This record gives sequence, structure tokens and C-alpha cells, in this order.
Amino acid sequence: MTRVLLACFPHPEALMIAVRRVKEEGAVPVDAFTPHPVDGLAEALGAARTPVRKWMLAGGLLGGFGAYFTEWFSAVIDLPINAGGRPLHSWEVFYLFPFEFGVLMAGIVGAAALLATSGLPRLNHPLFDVQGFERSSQDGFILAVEQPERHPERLRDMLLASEALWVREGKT
Amino acid sequence: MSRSLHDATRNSFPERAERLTRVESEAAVDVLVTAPLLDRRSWRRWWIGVAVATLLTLVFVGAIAMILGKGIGVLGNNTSIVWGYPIANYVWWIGIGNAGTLISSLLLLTHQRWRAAINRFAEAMTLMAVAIAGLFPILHMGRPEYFYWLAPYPNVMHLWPQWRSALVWDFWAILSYLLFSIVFWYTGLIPDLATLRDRTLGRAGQLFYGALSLGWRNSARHWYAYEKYYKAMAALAVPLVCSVHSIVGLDFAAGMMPGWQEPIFPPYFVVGAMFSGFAMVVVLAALVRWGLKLEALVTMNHFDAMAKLMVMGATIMGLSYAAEWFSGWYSGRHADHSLLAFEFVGHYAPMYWAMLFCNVMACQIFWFRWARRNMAVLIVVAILVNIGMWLERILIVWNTLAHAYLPSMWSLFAPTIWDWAVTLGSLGFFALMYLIFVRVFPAISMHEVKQLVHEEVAA
Amino acid sequence: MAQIFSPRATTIAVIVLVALVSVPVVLIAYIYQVHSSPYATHVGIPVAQPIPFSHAHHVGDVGLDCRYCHTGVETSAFAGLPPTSTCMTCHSQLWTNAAMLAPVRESLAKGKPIRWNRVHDLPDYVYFDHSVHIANGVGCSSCHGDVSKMPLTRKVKPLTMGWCLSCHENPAPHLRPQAEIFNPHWKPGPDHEKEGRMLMAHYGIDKDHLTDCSVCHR
Repeated sequence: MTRVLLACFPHPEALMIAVRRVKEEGAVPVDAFTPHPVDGLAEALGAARTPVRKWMLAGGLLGGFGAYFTEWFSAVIDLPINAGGRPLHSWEVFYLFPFEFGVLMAGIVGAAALLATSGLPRLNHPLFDVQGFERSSQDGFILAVEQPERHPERLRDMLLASEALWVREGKT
Repeated sequence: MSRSLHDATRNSFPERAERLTRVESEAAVDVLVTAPLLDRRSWRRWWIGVAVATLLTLVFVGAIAMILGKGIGVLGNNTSIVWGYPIANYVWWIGIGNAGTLISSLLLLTHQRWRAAINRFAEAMTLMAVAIAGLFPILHMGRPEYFYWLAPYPNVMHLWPQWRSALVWDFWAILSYLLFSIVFWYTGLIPDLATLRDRTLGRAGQLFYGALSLGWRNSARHWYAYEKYYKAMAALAVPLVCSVHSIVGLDFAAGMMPGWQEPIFPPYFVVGAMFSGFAMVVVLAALVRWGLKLEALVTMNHFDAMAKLMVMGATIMGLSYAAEWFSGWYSGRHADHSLLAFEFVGHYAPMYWAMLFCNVMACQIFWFRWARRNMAVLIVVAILVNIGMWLERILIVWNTLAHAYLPSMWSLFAPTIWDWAVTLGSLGFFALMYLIFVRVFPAISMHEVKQLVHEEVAA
Repeated sequence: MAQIFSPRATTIAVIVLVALVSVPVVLIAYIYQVHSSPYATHVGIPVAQPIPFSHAHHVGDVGLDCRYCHTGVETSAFAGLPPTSTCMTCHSQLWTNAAMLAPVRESLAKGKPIRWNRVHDLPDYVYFDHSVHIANGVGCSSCHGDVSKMPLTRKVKPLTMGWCLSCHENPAPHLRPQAEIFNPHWKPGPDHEKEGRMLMAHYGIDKDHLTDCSVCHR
């Protein structure tokens, strides 16, 4: 739990400038909360990495190969039936089910990984206590900066000088 | 205050061709999209729609109960034409579903920014259409209670599905497509549900949207992962949707019947599905924009773009029909020649000509700009296309099965009242689900449109 | 903005999401277990009969041969249930006044067969033939168990298709010499693997077509 200062900006450009200034001042921008994705914001916060796609790849491959193995095992090993003289291992059509299933598993695993790595669902969060935080899903671009030990009012003044509509304290 | 802002954003800005929306601020997007959801008063037309849709849904439920209770003998299917309405409806509905996925994925990957305003309700259309499509193969089975035998699971019979069967491909195509679409649609919805949570004043609404939004708090870290995930999902959805419709095409092409056994079927089904799906999106877009007063967000520029896609679809459909005729003639086989003659002058010829008009000719009017921007023309043509595509599907079933190799098997199909009840009833069920969707969920992807508006205003 | 949810709600939300995926999986596993359990297959559950006939007494104590009552088992699809007159070969002399046997005497007097309740009932789409199994080295007790130890008759095998196939795919371990077919106590010997192969050759069993659909479904 970090004590932060939350500053609300009217548009993403002001937020991006504020991130740069905060870093120049030596303070640490922890996170930002914006109604829509802002280009370069995650990079500026040093948070531009996510394992979600790796999980999707793993889920897709596992689902696909698992499905193919099921087909091969059932049609060649467990229940070899002569269906109109076709080869037991009819790979020409065996890729259809693994493809569909692999895509499905990639999607489901991806959604689960997205939620898990984001710490969601989290219905109760200290940020929701901050008055005005609800603007972040509508028209407010909110920056969270770690509250410095010394001179927090200097940071507050700096944020207000960078077009912040308001600055409030909160916890993340 | 919200009312005045609402009116202001609706009418104050003229529509410009270079701009996709007529909104000048991001806050206005929220107001426009959420105002109808949060307002309890202005839903009279909606209730009328729900009443009609509920009636038709009851017809649908009754027809299904009849088919399941009495068996498929109540339908017009006979020993030659074994497929009939359920399979035509299945192919038609799954085709409708196609466009929603293409709009949300293919257009995202190709940076077609106009998709932002229409992808949400097009995706909802996909979900509901695919869910209905999935019912029909079950309804046409002799023993529908055993449909789950198509899934591989340890069973006391020591049996496995026949992986070489088109029925098994179908099962997985529909199931994967439906579940994938639900996941894709729901994750796209989460940020907008958070917006609704934050704009709702009533406790019940806060709990409802709050729980559904899973505590989404618009963190930049989450947005980053979200965008990576969403683009990857889009990249998966495009091949998925093409494979689904190819498999539907293979249901026919893998059968050794004149008129079916043609390699062009998979791509031809993908295009046909896209074509009918876009026609349905046009109809729904017109209704959603009228019902929810979203003229500022869904503009004539959107209809213009969709009309262009439809004229492309119609032309490719024409080429596909021509390719079908050519390969039928070029095969040199008597059965194919005889089938071609039956198509053009046989018992179902009037329907065949009507289909050609609806699917190929009607859309050609969209070469003209005024037609692409005239709502009446758009809706009439879109409905004609949907009728034409349904005719195409029923004729694929009827013509080939009515005129196969053995002349002793030639027979015609007489639809019964239950055929019609289940067909029209499915439309009512779709309408009911769709009406509930627009009442409860934001019909337009707010976070994407806000981004678009921000870019447009900044530009 | 005030909190909408208490911290507990987060836990509930996680549980609901996990349940969305796990409950269907657990449910399917559960249904499968029920389907293969005696609840569905009736294995080990004695069937109520008009007369509490005991195979344990007649086969185990008295030593009757299976074919004494089930006369058709070597020659026809149906093993056959004995007519009342077969019962009366003994019971016209023994226990002639036993209350338990009143339905047998009534059946004889009225000329109406006793209505036994089926213990082994295959679906009508399965064309099972007793004679071909008897003629090819499958003994009674392989499917019906050791009836000489059953006071009341019950199923010992599930009679599911998977169970049929388990033998049709690999019959050798279940085959026995012709002399042992009607021995209710028969158990495979220690070197039965070799014997099984010899019996396969002896009976001329072609394994390749034993799992064809049309062997059991016409």
C-alpha cells in the first residue's frame, strides 16, 4: 500500500507532460488512470510489459496439441475403425478441431491471464474512496505519484501548475 | 444538465465527410451513450418492441417444444430432402454472426477507425445469431437429446467422435466461435461497464454494473495489457471466423452430391456470410441509432462504408454463382447439367431468380453516392439481401436434394406451419435478446469512441 | 466517490469467476461417475422376483448344470427361461407344500408362465447371441459371474457397450477350454496368456472384425 498524490488532468497531453515533469523532479509516478488507452503512457510509467500474450500462446498451443492428441489417440490407438478405407490417422481433416479448440483456449486463457495479472476482479479498492476518482472512467486523466517524504506540498504545487484540476491524497 | 448537453451534442455540429462523428468532446460520448440507459422514462418504443418480440419468442419456444416433443416429422423434411428449414436457418444465422466478428477484429487490425462506433452492437449481434444458429443443428436431429455425443469425453460406450465427419467439425466450430465471441465481447465491455458504474446514481445500478465491471479502474498498466490482449484476440478472431464459415461450406462440399461437391464452397460461404452479416448490421445500426438517438456517433459516413462493403460482397457473390454454373457445366456430368437446368427453370426457379436479384443486383445501386447515404434505400436493400441470402441457403438444400442422381429420389419440399414458426420465431427470439442488450449494456464502445473523438478533435 | 463494495465482495467475485469454469467441469465428471455407477448400471443390485429363486442353492448346493434350465443357450440367441414343468421335475416331489413355491403351483394349475423379472436386459438394437459365445469359448460366468454364490440373482457386469468392447477388442484373456464353459467357478490359470493364444487359434477367432459395427448392430 503506497501513499500517493492523485492529480486529475483535463486531457491526456497534460497528463503526459506532468509525468515527464514529475520524473524530472525526482518523484515516482506510480500509475495513471485514464478513460481510454493513452499512447506511450505505460512506457513513460515503466509499466510497458505484460505476459498476457505469452499465456495466450501457451493456452492456444496446449489446446491445439491436446485436441490433436485426442484425435490421434482415439482414432489410431483406442478405437481404430475403418471408415470407408480412409487412413486411421487422417491428418488432412484432423487439424480442423485442434484449430478451433486452440483458438478458443487461447481466448479463454488470455482473458484469465488478463484478469489475473491485473489483479482483477477487485471490487473494493482504496482508490475508490478518493473523491473524484470516478472521473477516470469518463473524462479525467488521473496521475498517481508516490508521496515524497519531504516537501509533499512542493510536488502538489508543481502538479497544480501543470494544469491539474485537483490534487488529492490516496492509497494504491 | 445532461439533457441540455445531450441536445447540444446531437444537433449543433453539421456532419462532415472527413469526420466520422459529430461529437466535439469525450464527455459528450459518455452522455450520449449512457443517457438512455440511465433514464427510465424514454423507453416506450422499447416496451412495444419487447412485447412483439416476446410473442414471437413464445412461437419459437412452442415450435421447439413441438419438434422436440413430437419429433422432426412435424417439419416438412422428407426422405429425399432431409435437411430443410433447420439447416437453411442454421447457415443463415451463423452467416449473420460473421459480420460482427469481422467488424471488431479485421477492421481493427486494418486500422479502419470507423469500426469504433459500430463494433459493440455488431458483436452483440454475432453472439445472439451464433447462439440461435447453434440450436438448429440440434433441432434437425432425430435424437436431439444425444447432441453431446459429438464431444470427446470418457463414456460407457467406449466410443469416440468420428473426427472425419462434418457434423463434428460443425459442433466445434459453433461451440468455439460462440464461447470465443462471448469472451471477446465481454472483455471489450468491461471498461464501459466501469463507466456506467461511475455514472449510475441508484444503488442497484451501481451494484449491477460494479460487479460486472470486475472492479476495473482504468489503470495505465491494465490498459497496456488490455490492448495487447485485445489486438491478439482480434488477430485470432479473423482466422477463426473464416474457418467457421469454411466448415459450414464443407458441410455441403464434403457431401458427394451434384451442386454441392465444389471446392469453391468454403470461400464462397465466408463471403456470403460476411455479405448477409453486413446487411444485418446496416438494419440494426439504423434501428439502434434511431432508438437510442445516437445520430451523432453513428453517422451516414458509417453507412457509406458498410454500403461499399456490401457492393463488394454482392459482386463477389455474383462471381461465385458464375463459378458454380461454370464448374457444373464444365464437369460434363449429366447430373450437374440436369441440376443446373432445374435451378434455372425448375420448380424453384422463381425463388432462384429472386435470389439472384436480391444478392447480386440490388446492391449495385450502392455504386451511387446518394444511395449509400439514403437511409430508406439502405434499409430496403439490406432487407432484400437478408431475404436473398436466406433463399440462397434454402435453395442449396432444396435444389440439390430435390434433384440428385437418382430420378426415383426426386421430390419436392412442402414446408409445414412448424417450419415457418421456428423460422419466424427465431427472428423474434433474436429481437428479444437484442432489445435486452441495448437496454442493459452500452450499445457503443465508449472508450474506443472517446479515443477516436480525442484524435479527431486534436487533429 | 464512495466504495460500492466491501472487501468481502472481491473474494466473492473471484469465487464466482473460478466457479464459472470449474463447476461445469466438476458437473460433467460427476455425471460421468453417476452413469458408470450401479445407480445407472444396476450392477450388484438383486432384482425382486415373484419367487425368491436361489442360484446359490440350485447350482451351488444341488449342483444343477446351467443347461438343465437354460436349455437354449448352446443353440439359440436366447438362453431361455425354464417352463414351470422344469421346476416341477423336482418340486412335484420336494417342498410340495412350501408357501414360497405357491406361485409355481399356481402357474402349473392355470397354465400361465411365471413372470420373472429380467436381470440382464440389453437394448433392442443390440443383437446379442448366446450360442456364438458359448461355441467360441466364452463361459457363462465371464458375464454372469459365479451364480453358485448368489442367493438372489444380480448383475455383476455393467453390460455397457464399453464393457462389451473390452472383450471384443482383446478376447484371449477371457476364453476358456470347451470343458470349462459351464463351470461357474472357473478362473484363468497362471499361464493363461499362452493358453489364450492357443484358444484363439482353436476356436478360429478373427479379431479384426470383432469390433465391426455390424457384429452387434444390424
